Amino acid sequence: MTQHGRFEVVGSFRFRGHEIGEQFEAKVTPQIERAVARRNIVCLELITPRVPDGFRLPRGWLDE
Amino acid sequence: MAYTKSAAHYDQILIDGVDVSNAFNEFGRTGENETLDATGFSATGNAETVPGTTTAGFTGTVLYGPEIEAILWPLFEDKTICEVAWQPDGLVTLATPFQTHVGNCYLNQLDVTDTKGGVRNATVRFDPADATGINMVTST
Repeated sequence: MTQHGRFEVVGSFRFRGHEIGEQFEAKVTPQIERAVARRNIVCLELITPRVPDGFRLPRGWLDE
Repeated sequence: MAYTKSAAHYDQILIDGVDVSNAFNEFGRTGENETLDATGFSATGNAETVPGTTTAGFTGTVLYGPEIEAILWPLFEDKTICEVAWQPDGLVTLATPFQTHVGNCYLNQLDVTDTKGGVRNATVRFDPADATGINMVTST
């Protein structure tokens, strides 16, 4: 699963159209990692998308 | 027909996603097609050409400080591919906006110069890193 995160723009520069102080969600890519390392943005929360436990497809969706 | 004429004040520049517009006082896109000789025999004897390889990039002058150094130096030293986008007058809303020039680039030139009593600045040059090159896209 591709990791995502919730980030906040800090410092002196806007980031990808987001104003300073604004929070946004984005996929964790090398560009995001560099921005975090430079402290252009800070990571507030890492999000790993996953299906809920016990998830089942509706009956008949798959040929079993 | 009346043509729009304006002074350059409101250019928007994004390097690796960061809006560095206020740190630059000069920026532009270079573009040149190689000229290939395709002259054949003719009654006029005139030269003929076809365009060859396209060479493009971005150049600029940046007012150099610690924040800009933190962005540009790793891109240069580590030879990291980054997205560069430039839109003339992109910081304001125009009825007929300029298009945005964007490309994945290497930062291949970073010349920092100090002149006593002058503002510290650096000359930068970005060259395309992939076959997509530098493209002009419709601004939103």
